[in-house]
Amino acid sequence: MNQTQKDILSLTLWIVSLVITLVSIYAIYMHFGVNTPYHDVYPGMSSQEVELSHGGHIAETIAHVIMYVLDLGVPFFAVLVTHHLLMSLKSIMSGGE
Amino acid sequence: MAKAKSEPNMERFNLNQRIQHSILAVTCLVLFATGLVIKFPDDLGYLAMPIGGYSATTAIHRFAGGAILCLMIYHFLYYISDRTWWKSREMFPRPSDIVHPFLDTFYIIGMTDKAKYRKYAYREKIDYWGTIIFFPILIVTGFFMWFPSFFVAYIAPADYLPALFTVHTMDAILAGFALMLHLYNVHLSPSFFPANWTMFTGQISPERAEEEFPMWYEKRKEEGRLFEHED
Repeated sequence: MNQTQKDILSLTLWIVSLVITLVSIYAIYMHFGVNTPYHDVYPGMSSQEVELSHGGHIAETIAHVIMYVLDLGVPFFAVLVTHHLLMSLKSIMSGGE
Repeated sequence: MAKAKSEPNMERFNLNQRIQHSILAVTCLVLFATGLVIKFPDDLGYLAMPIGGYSATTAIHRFAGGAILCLMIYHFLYYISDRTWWKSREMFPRPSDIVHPFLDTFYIIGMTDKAKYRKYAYREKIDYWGTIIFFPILIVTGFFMWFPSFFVAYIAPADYLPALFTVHTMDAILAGFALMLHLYNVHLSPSFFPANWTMFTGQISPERAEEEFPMWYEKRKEEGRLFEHED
């Protein structure tokens, strides 16, 4: 694939992506009339006040498990930040080599 | 070695990659700024006032979400159709990505030389694959929160929605950490401060490429493609 073909492919795919995005959002808007805020599903309630069914409890439990797994990202980032800072320090001490 | 004035720069990122990165950068910053206001209206609600209030902030958040959905679809479609990208495998994880952080640690304490990276070091791969893995979660959960009626009609009962809130928020906060790390890594570290323009101009000097990504530099030099267009 030469560069011109790649450029044409790229432009075509941008148009396709934009159309997919707009059509899917527009179709949902049209089907459900207007955007429904969360509070219209549960009038007057926050997400913490909703009474959950058994399935809802399972979903919430799974969400919290995912949340704890994501929390592991924080120490991971802490290690990475420390590593980057030490690399920077080394770079400064070695005169930017 | 001083760089001759006439010596051209190498192309590190092509125009397509730069456009995608620019869209991602702008939408991410908008999403984080507006998302925090939406999540914490009591504490940060005043930040929404200059841009038209809470409703306008929500609308901007959703517009930026739509833009990032479009970008995700494009990125997926483009890279499954781009054979050059698959053949080069530059962004794919390699065993050396496990070894290099340890080599760098030994380098910090003066035991070895700095690890020799290919086109992308482990840092760039963490950024890229983190985005590829965690952004679809944000986009899908955000989409369902945007259209809860659609979610309730086709996906699951309404009381599953709080779970989406939890995942969306935590994933977004984690992505915020990743963004801060990325900003330090590419702009604020002493090697690049105050800014690294490579992702925006696509250009890198041969000296810098040899210093930062020696294996990529050597490969392109051996292929005689040092100053050629990047696939």
